[in-house]
Amino acid sequence: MMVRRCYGLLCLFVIGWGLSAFSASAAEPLHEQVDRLIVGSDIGLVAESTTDGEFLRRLTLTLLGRIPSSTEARAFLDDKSPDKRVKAVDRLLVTPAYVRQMTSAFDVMLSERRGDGEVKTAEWRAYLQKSIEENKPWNVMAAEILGNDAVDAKNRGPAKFLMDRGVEANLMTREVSRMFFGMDLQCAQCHNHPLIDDYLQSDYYGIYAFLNRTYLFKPDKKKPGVLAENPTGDVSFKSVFTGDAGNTRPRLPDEAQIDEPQIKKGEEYKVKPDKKKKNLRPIPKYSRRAQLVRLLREGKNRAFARNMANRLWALVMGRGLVEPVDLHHSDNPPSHPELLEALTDRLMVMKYDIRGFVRELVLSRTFARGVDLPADLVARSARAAATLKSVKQQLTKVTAVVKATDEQIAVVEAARSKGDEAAKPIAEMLKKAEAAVAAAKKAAGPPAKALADASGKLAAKQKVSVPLVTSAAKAVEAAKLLPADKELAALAARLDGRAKKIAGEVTAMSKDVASKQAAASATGQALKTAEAAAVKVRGQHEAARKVIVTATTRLGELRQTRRQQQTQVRATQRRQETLTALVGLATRQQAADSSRAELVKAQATLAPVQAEYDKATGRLSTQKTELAEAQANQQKATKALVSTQVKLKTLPGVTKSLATAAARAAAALAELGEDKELAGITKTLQSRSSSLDKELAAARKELPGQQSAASAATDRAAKAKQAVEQSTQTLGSISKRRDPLATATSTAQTKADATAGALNETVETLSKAWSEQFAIAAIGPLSPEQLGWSVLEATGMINRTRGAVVAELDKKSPLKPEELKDAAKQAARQKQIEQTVHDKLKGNISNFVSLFGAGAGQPQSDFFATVDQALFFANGGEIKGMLASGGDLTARLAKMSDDKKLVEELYLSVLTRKPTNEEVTEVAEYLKQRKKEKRNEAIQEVTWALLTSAEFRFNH
Amino acid sequence: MKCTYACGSNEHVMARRQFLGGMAGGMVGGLGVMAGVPAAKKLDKTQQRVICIYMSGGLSQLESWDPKPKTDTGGPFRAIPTSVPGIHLSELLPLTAKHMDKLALVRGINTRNGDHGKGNYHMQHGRNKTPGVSLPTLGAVCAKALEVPNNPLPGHIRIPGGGRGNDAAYLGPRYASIGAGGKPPKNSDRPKGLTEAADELRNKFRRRVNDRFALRRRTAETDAYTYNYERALQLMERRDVFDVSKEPAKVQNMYDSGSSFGRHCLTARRMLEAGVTFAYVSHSNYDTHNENFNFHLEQVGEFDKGFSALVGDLDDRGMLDSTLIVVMSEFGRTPKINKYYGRDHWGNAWSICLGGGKIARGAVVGKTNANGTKVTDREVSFPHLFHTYLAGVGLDSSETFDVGGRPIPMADPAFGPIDELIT
Repeated sequence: MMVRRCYGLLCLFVIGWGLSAFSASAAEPLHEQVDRLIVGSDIGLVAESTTDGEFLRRLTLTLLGRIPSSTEARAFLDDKSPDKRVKAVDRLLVTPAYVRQMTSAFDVMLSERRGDGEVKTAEWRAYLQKSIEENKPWNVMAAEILGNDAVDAKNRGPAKFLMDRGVEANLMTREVSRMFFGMDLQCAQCHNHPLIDDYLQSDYYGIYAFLNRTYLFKPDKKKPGVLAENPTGDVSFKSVFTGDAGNTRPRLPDEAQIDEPQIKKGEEYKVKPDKKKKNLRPIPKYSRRAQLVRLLREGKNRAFARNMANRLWALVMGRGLVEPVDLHHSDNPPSHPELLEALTDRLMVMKYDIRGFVRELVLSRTFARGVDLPADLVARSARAAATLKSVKQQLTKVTAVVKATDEQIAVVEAARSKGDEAAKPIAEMLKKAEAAVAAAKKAAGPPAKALADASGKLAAKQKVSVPLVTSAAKAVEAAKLLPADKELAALAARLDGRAKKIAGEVTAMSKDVASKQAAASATGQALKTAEAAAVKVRGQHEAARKVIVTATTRLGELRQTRRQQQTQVRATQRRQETLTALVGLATRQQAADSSRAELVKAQATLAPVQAEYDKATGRLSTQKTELAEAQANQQKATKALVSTQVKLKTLPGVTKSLATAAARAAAALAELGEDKELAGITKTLQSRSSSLDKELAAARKELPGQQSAASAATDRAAKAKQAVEQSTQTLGSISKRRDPLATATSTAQTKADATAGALNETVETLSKAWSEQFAIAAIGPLSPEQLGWSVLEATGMINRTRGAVVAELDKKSPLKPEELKDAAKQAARQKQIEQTVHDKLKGNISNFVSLFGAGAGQPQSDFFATVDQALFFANGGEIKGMLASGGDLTARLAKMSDDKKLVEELYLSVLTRKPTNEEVTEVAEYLKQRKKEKRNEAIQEVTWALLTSAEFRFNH
Repeated sequence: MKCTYACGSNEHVMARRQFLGGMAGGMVGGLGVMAGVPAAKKLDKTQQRVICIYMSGGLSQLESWDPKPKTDTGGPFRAIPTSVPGIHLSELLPLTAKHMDKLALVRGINTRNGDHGKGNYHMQHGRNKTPGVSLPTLGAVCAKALEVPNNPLPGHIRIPGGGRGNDAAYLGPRYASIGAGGKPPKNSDRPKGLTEAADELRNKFRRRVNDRFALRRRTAETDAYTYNYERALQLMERRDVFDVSKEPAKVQNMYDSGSSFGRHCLTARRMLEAGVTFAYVSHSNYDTHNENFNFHLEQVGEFDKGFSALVGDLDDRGMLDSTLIVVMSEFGRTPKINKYYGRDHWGNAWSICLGGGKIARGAVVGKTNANGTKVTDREVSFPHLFHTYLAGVGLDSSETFDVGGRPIPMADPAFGPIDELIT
């Protein structure tokens, strides 16, 4: 059990199992603690509590994965009891829909929509559903998910997590660290994380070492694979940048490497691999993955608990205290560090009770916060100045503290590298000394063996020689006693000869042994000296190593301290940013207001002059038109006059000549008589002459009229011109007064726009910062599943289907009168109805998942909008069908003749709130403008507009 | 305490994204300007586009871009001259040969790989696959980098096929491929019984509902969501763009639209012309372990007709300079002919064809030896090619994406484009 010490005032955490700083306040319910820690931060209370309708919508979406029905909404709104929110929480938490929603949430979180693989999605979901239904503690679930080998055909579900990662060690390491410890260590695979100081390569390989021996065992391609594990496989790593290397046994984040048993070579397996039985899954005696499973089941690792506390928070609040939820580190600290530690403690104390924990979160006032910004922003802005000042001071302080720690770290790191340097020659010496020992051992070997051999031979010889000498002496003695026995004498002589020979050999051998003894003792002595030297160097080496180990341990402690201090720095920075925006708001509001006022003033000054100007412009424009007309007229009259004058000038001469010609031609004709040609010519000449005479007469007649018309037109044009000139002058003088005013107004407009934009920007910054700090509610998209089920609820699909299911059950298997009185039977029937309705409708959800869900294996929480989504809602047969007759909403509304009631039912069904008067009128007008026979369509159109609105698409 | 080193590898890219959690912000940022809703008018002729034809299964370089007639590995087909003196193609590409002056060849590719999945990954992503890291494909990268603001059409289409692909990784589903089969997309026409007038009315009502909600709170996400319905309406106006049957019969015949490949090329051209950024057309299947020559005779012949029509058509319409053409495969095929008259997987010396865009016309880069068993000059691999595609549409391939305020390199920063191919 590790209890870490606090480092000064800055460390807000006391870390350790059951030894929480907050245990003193254990009597305080968690939801109250949450509110105290959120509101207690210097942001304070920003948004008021949300409306009942919005609360119920949010709660139902969170716990049941859909919006409430209009019946549920109405009942809740009409309920006047003060504890109706608590009652609603407790009612929803025990429904089967809660189990399904949590199952879906955990499924998406852990599998990120990966499809069927070695383990089928259905098996995995069934496992999750059963676990959530039993309210299995998270540590147990985690242990089952990582511990399941998929061997039991009936219980393969949990193994999907590792199977989906291909049972590949690096992939498993990344995913286990992300999902179970909230740390995406991917970057630390090849070197310490370049951007995140807390993520070390050794952390990565600590987790990797739990998993690297695990592999997919699938001897038969047609049969589902299972997990198996190698008994051996050590982990070492080396940074591709610094070349720093290390090796590690399995290790959880922030903990020590685990101790492992020594397994004798050849005894590694419980079930040995057998080449003859290829389907036999080998089982090691010692499993590293089982150690991970054991540690998770114990649930004592803080990162493990913190991860789930944060993920459940994110599930309920729409965003983690640490966000993204898989990047816990000191440069990305929680919005409320103290709160996250408190939640972590509580989750551990509550023994990872998911339902209980979620209950506390939804009971908090933080969950029930509204989305609207407060009205008194300016007053808050003024108040924030003092806070900002103190936060700035605090930031300076905490930054200095981190710097001091960094300096300490640098010192210890230097000490460690110095130790490393110092250890290097000693290690070199040790290597040499060990080599010398080995060499001496090697050198001493042959002489010792030779001595042993010789001694052995001598002993063997002596063993023979002693009885032989004795026996020879006895034989010689016997032969002396029986001198006549020649045979005996010969035998004795032979025996004696042999004995003497052997005695000689023994003597020689003894000499040999003595000489070998001398040789062996020399090399033996050398070995002893070498060993003695080695012992000395080993001592030195041990001492040097101790220096390094001490420094490393100290470094670990310092890093831990730094992490906590850095968390404070980042949290303080965030507070400073928010407060700076808030403080700046007053100035921006003032700027916006004053520039707005200036604009209004400028506009007012400009207005009368502008009116004058407009009038003058209007007059001028009329006069210009008149002038243009008069001039055109003048031109026309002049042109006519000129043409007449030309005629009068030229025609008299022509007519005279023509008359003469005609007369002469007539005379000639008279002379010639019947000349047809001349007759024709004469006729033509005569007729032309007469017509020209007529023309001339007409021109003479027209002339006076045209003259006076031309003169009148000229006068009119001159007058018009004069008028235009006069008006232009007038306008010019007005313009002189008006133009500067207009410029000023336009400048004021630009300024007003800019200041309003700046103000807006600040407001957006604040609303983002506040919602990230849970001071106002976040606006987040519904998950694809929530969206789908909400559409089914809003359009009355669920209601209609439930009606059909109830009718069918009542017909097929009606409850008997006595059963109707039995609460348990009733409940069972309700459960059956709910499940049947769900099963009948769940096929509708896949459309929403494929359109609104991110790709398999991608993070699922990021919002995106693609055109196919809008097209689906706009034109898809599915939505149309639900609105037309699939659901019962349209039919319900169509029956209502009172517009107010209709609109109320519509808004309660789709948006879980009552409409405003304005909205009632709006819808009523919409329905009115369509023909009576199109009323059904019109109702569907209005419903569609609400379904496609941002208010429906988002949780707020 | 900050580490001062950085390798710029994919892993960091991922981590940076997540470090900031900025993906949603980045994606929404793309939709950020949504005050007015400009109708999608005629698109800019200078918009850069890409047509990528993927010869699925592994096209034989010897029966296409790098013939080696009269050698032990050359097979039965001859080499024919092209419109560029000195460049010869396989006789299976007579029509394409006439357009060689608009195309270019890379003949010195060595990807050291003979696995379909791996080869496909390399060519589409320009990098090695790393466990736990997912990268956007060329199409998603181009759709993002060459995005035309307020274009209601998808930026990235895949022909044939349907649905939305899972190929945009951290760029987000907005840049994922949309399957297009020559017909308007699903749900792009008004449902029966809904008149245009009624649709207008209900949309007007929808806008009022949204405006009212926006007065309470608005975020980049709520704006993106409401604007998305306007994009849908614009797309509905332009749904004919997807309908290849609207092309004149003459043009359809030109593309040999009796063959599905020709029709796919025409669909791609039609959509690129309308303003789609990236079109991916796949042609199957070149994995000819048996009867390589018969299969190539048939397949390459079909390709030749559709492809040559496409190149000529792009040129005629003045789109060539703004449209990069890429014809790629996961790898080539072995020079050695196996006992089934087939050729096997081979990544050690193969070719691709490029064209249009900023690619030098009629260029050949890289060389193989006499019987095509080895690259002898200007060896390149998939990262260089990926850079070259991006450079071929005028992008600086060393550029980075700004995702949530963090730079993410578009292509493997350890490599660069084939500079001599880029004009």
